[in-house]
Amino acid sequence: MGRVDFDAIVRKAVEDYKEAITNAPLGTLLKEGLSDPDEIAKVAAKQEEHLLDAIREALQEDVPEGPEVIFQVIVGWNQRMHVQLGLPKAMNRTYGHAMDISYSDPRAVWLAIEWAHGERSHRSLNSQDTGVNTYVRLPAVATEDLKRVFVRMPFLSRALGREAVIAVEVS
Amino acid sequence: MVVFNGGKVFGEARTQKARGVLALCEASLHDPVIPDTFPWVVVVQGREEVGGAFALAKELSGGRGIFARPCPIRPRHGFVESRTISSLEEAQALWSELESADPEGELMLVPLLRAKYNAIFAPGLVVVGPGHDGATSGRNAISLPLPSSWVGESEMAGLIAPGEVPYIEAVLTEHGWVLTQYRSGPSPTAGDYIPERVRVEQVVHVDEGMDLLEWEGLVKSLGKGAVVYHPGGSAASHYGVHCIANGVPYITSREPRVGEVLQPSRSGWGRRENVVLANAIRESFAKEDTEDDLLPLSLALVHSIGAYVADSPSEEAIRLLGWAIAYLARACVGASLGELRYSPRRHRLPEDIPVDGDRDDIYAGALEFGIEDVIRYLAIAKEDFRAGGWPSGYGGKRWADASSVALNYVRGIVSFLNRPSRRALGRLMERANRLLHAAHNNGWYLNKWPDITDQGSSWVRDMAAQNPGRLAVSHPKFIEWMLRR
Repeated sequence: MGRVDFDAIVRKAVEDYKEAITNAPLGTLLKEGLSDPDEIAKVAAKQEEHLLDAIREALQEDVPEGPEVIFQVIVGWNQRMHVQLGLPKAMNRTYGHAMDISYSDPRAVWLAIEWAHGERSHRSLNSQDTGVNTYVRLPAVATEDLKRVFVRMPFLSRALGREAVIAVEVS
Repeated sequence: MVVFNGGKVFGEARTQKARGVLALCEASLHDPVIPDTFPWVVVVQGREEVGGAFALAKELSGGRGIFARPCPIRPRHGFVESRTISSLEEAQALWSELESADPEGELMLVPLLRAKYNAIFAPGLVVVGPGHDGATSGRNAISLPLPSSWVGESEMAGLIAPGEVPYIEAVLTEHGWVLTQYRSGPSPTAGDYIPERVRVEQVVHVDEGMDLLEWEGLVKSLGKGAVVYHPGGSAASHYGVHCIANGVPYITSREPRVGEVLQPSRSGWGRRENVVLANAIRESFAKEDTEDDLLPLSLALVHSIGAYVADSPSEEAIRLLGWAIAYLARACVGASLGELRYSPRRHRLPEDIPVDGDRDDIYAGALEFGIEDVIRYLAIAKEDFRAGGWPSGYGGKRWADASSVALNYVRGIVSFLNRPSRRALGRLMERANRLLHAAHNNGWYLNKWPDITDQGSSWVRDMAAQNPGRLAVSHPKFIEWMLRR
């Protein structure tokens, strides 16, 4: 053990901590287990700046062409924030089929996040692919095969005047 | 013949050794703080008493064995050896041996105790060894400069020669410590702390009622020539600790006079000791600890740094202190991480922070941390405790404050490692002392660590501050562990 720089270690620890807390991946945030919707909205609001940064960054990337099918994410506030993936009615797929798609091309999974709208109901997003009642719990299945997904942000798309997509690390 | 039985002494012994044991027996009955002594003692004072005394001892022993201890009229080394006796013939033969060595001697008969360990305690000294005589014979024993108190001096008045100090011998049985001897002897330690030659210009008397923070401030304000006098004090006390940390002479043996010149005390703690300790701390942080129930032992050692510095401890004892300093730091980070599991931001903490599993898992993990891990995790824990949003009764400001005290302690370790000196060690000692007062929301900072002593964390904390020598031998595992090293 050489000379230990106490202050440098503390400084780095505090920086790392702040970075981790403020820039946590969305998936982590959703999994955090907060049960109070107001508290979660507050945390989400705090992260808005980070979200915008991430979106700006994502917009610089080549976003792969998605399939015609757009999946929905419905955040179940009363289910400890498990992200649920809804399947479009037109696909008429079952749970297993949904996973097949994820496995084959995770990049093609498009998600939309309801909480970003500040809505807390269990209903789906306002898009052409609504009306889905089949859900798949993401955190449980996503960690192994869905390391990264692209999330469509309709509300930001409207705000920005172009399609907003964010890359989300799923944890 | 003198007999102690049923809580009373009948007769009067003439040898110092027998008088010491009988005084211990009486004191133990009246003071619950004093450990057990013998339930009965028979002292043979003449040949004609041997038969009756042996018969009485046999009856009192209930067939569990008799141990015979020859007592010379004046304490001396190499006297007739103590032994087990099982027949009248053996008792008579031993008496003949004793009589020819010292016609005025006495033969003390006591119950035979099955001892796992034995020890000698004197002010600022603990010697512990295996079996019934490892400490007294010095065989495989370890000697530590730890202050300990077992029996009040007032209860044993008249048994200690002027200028000498009490020595207590004891054995550890399956029922705990049993005090087996109380005798007079020369002080084993320097006692006084005088870092350099000094002409006394001011004598500061310790006021034990003074607030400790006030005392700390007072000591820091003292100029050259000021000397602290603390009759009956100890270098490991809070009063001594602050003096040593600030290089102020600390005298316990006699009252110094203004104008007199004091020579440096014979403390052997110097550059070599600093280096040995620094290496021992580094080695301890490089090795994993596997036992999560040694916190009381580590506290006892760390809170005796003052006594170490004022004395000339063995390398073995210094290495043990190095282990204790590292162990205590790991215990602190374990405590903070154990609480951090409840963080409202738990899933967003930096990925490397180990907060998974139950508290025992966290503690086991903490005992493997290097010093850089300890610093990093304590800093993160402190930051998160301060961040707010904690549910009632968990984390929050109190835990942030306690983690801050721990972080300061580790800063003290780092300062000492980067530049080993007596002054840096003094500062570390001050910071270690503050750990005893660090508290979380409903108790002492470290009170969730396993307590193998079964006495409760308050007892452990109090003993670390007031009686570290006794705490260090309060459980057989501590002794076994020290001797194994």
